[in-house]
Amino acid sequence: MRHDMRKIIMILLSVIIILTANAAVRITGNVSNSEGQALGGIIVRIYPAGGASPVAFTRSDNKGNFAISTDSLALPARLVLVSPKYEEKTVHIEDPSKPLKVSLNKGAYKLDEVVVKAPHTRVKGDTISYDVSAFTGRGDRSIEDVIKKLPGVTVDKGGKIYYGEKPINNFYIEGLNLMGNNYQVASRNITPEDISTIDIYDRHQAKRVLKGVQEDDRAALNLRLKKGRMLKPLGHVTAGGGYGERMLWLGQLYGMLISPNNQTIISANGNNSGSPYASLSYDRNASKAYSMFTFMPFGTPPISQARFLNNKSAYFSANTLFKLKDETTLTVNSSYSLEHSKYSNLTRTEYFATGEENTVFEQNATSRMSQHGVFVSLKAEKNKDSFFFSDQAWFAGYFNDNSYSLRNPESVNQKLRNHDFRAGNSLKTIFRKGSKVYELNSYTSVNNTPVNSMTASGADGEEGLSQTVKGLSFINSESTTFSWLLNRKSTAGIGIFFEADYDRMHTYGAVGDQSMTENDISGFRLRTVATPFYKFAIPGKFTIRVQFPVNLYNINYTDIATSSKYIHNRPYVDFATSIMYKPHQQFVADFGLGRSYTIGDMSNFIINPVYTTYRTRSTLGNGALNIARRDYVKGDFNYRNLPEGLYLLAMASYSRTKHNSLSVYDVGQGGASTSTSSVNTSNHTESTHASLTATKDVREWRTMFSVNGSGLWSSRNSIRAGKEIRNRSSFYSAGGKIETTQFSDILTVYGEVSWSRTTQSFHGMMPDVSLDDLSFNGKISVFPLPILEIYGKADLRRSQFTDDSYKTNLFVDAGVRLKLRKFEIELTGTNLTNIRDYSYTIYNSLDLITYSYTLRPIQAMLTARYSF
Amino acid sequence: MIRTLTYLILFLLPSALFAEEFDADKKIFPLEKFSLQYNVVDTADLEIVYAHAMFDPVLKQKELRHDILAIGNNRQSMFISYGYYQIDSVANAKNGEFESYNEERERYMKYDASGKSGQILKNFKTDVSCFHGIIFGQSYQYEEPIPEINWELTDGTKEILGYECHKATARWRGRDWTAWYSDIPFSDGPWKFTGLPGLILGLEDATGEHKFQAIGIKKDNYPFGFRRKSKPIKTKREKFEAMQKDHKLNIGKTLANSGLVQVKPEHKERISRRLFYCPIELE
Repeated sequence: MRHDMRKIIMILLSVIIILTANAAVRITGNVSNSEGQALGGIIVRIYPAGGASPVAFTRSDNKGNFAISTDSLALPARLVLVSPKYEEKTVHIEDPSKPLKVSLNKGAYKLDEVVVKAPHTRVKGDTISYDVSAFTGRGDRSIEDVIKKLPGVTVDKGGKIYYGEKPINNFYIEGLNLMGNNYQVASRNITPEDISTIDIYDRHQAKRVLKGVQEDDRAALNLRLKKGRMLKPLGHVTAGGGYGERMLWLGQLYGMLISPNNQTIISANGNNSGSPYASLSYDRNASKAYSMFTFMPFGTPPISQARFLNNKSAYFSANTLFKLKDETTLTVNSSYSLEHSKYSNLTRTEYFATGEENTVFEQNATSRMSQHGVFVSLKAEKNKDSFFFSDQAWFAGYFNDNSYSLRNPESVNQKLRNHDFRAGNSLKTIFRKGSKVYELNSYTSVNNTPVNSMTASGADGEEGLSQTVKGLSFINSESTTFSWLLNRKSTAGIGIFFEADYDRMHTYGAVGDQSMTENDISGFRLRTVATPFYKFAIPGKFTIRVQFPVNLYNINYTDIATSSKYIHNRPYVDFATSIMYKPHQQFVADFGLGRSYTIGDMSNFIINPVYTTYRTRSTLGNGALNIARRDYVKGDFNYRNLPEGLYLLAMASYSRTKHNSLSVYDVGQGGASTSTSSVNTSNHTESTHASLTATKDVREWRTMFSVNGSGLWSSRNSIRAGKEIRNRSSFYSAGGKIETTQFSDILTVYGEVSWSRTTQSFHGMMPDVSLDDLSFNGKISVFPLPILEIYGKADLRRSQFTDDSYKTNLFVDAGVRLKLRKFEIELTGTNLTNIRDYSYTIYNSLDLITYSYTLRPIQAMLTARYSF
Repeated sequence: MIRTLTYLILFLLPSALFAEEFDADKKIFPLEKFSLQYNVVDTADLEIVYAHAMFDPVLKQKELRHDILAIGNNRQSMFISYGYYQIDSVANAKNGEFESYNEERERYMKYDASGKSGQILKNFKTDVSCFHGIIFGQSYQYEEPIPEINWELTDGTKEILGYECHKATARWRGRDWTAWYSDIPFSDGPWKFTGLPGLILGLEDATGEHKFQAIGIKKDNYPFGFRRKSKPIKTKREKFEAMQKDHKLNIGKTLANSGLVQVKPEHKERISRRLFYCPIELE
């Protein structure tokens, strides 16, 4: 019994000890400053022994008194008193029953500031506005660098901007379209420092008269200048020099003046450091004669031209826009380009030989191109709610004088000389009166190619082959549309389109003095289309448009040499329906389905061969008019959640086309010559395409992720060495992109990786073959000081040659850039690994082609820029 | 006929004259500093910008707003729309200048100044909070004691803007909240939330309909108070919440009652739609 009693006492004692240590406690006290004045509002926290988070807290009252209670507390505990204006104080508590007296010393709380970035995206209806300063990194040089970072926006190598899959329809500066399609002159030279906001107008109908009547599924982009940037000249002057294989130079002047009633942009550039400007030239449809000879017929690699082209280039562009009264603008654009360039490559072609041993042909080529181009355009536009008028007249001229030195192993010199002139006028008028809309468009263009000849001779200088292709074409199209708004949601209408083409082409080919082949065709092609349509729209939510274009073709060509006539008069009925569904502000789906006919032209009756290079012959037609019937279905799904920085685009399409012409490709003995032609026989091609792109801007990490994947499957027939082959090809690609800025803008990393696989199947004639390509592109910029950028770039490409043979090319560039207010000095090193050869393999239809290009060596440039 | 034409001309004349006189680029709007715009009650030396994500479960719509909590050095704080703050900051910086209609429009378009959440002034000296909200253009104001929220401090930490934050939970006015408070020595937070032993940097309700997250902290010198020009109607919290609900759930009724438009019976259905509505306080 006594034993039990002792046990009970022991247990009770233990409980009392535990309860004393972990019992409900109340701590009281008073807090004052060092002068003894009571302090109110002081935060008092209790932390248990070893604990990092408080278990209870209170605030002192105006007399400095505090009382804090907690159900349990492991002793010894910590009492921490904090205030913004006093130093933090910690008191260790061993006896909670004792009232505390705490004195605090003055001292401000030290705060780690986190800079507030303004909310950088605003959405208002179909307009998304991006705050440029929030998207601009220290390494960004032009507004194009910022545009590239916007969710859903991509910019191709030529500077063309896409929103989703579609190119933008207008590039505005302060709401005015000065540059037309040549906007890359502006986007690559305007600096982010001059721009406050970039607006993206989704589904932008630029013609105000058509708003709510006709949809445009493309977006427009608008740059808004910062305050104080209007009415003063902006731009920069750049000059630089360096050394690679030879002395290098570049010079650039860009000037821009934007005011409410006038916009002017002038750009003058020149360099021999590997940046040609030809792609900047305005382009209009070339004549058929001019298109017969290509500018670089012996191959162009998928790498930057700066790596392989030895150039001497100049480009000048002057553009001005006047905003007149009554919503009228007058725009003048002009440009001149001069291009002298040279590059060398080796081509190895393995021609598929339908069961026999494949033929291999090798050729060394050195191409020297010389081109002058000039373009002038004048445009007047009135864009009102009730009336739209636009008239644009233009002139373009190109003068090429190219020579190509070839060795296979025989030496051949090929020359190309051509002059091409294009002039035209485009008139558009639209009236809207109440519920009726009238549209009248007129387009006229004349393309003349009076000089266009290719000659080829052997090493001894004796002329071996000459080919001339001269042409003249005259195009006129008129269109008018009437539409009626039936009620708030429905529109019906009819569009009438008439197009008249007059073409003449004369080709003459000869070997030595001997005449070989001649074509001389002229005639006209009339197309009259009546397109009745119906549209039902719930604005901003749903649109369906159905149309049945009835096309009447009247074709009449005469072969002057043989006096043969080709006449075709027949109607064709197309069908197209498109649906836009926007169930939610963030989600848009577009569907399309239809049937369309494509009818051939004069080239179908050019039945004698034309030499396009010294060893390739092309017979454009087979004497029968080409008729292709395409049935298609497609869908786009677009999800954008800008508050979450998420953008998704999925796209899928399928088409089947029935043709009456089948291409024939023949290879001569040992691959010494090739010829393309066609035969009049029924066949079909199929094509399926699917792609997915997702972009996520994780703002907390200041990082943008993007992934994409796509698949393209196609099949077609062709005739090779007399045998018809069904060729199926597939192309898969996948890639990812990351861009991040870290450590308070000190480090910027950009990386992009992409993989692709091309597979060709020959319908059992030989095993399937596949080629894989992997590429990585990255840039790291470090800013040890806000004015100093040190960067390195890597471009790695791993190309497959054969089943087990790969070649890896790694290009490394680096530079240092110093910004001192308006001055900028940059030292760049290009091709630091000094790779002199770039090789890769592709499938061209059935043949395997391996290209090997000679590259520019390691080079260094020092440039200085002054911005004003 | 002549009489009709005369009436028509007389009717159109004033608007034509006005149209001729109105110049959107004419600088007529004065920009004023804070002290002229506001009855300044305190000057903030600390500002916290919160991103506030909301979800309306009926419309299935999300909205993202940005608000700022300005903590004064005289034991008062103001919680307002970040857009308002930026607009006023520009005006303060350009005190004395005039701007045109176009410039004013651009300033308002640049910053989201919808101010849909309302403004809250907390006075920790008197323990009173004052709310200022707008329903269909009319300002309302009510006062209430600074709410005493029965927070439970629990285990769990999370890093926000580089600060280690501790977890606390509470049920308050119909929602279950989880707060993440820092060691920054201010017992304050977004909206009316307060009463934790440090500044609240993150706050979310259990349904996921509200989520506040601090996206920036900075020191500043920002005088705050309520606008001088607004003449609010004094009301009570419950009344304001009821009016707000009525307005958001039936905009047609608000329009019809305003007398600004005449709503025909056949149009009633079209305009009686629900606006985005996701109140923070349910009770």
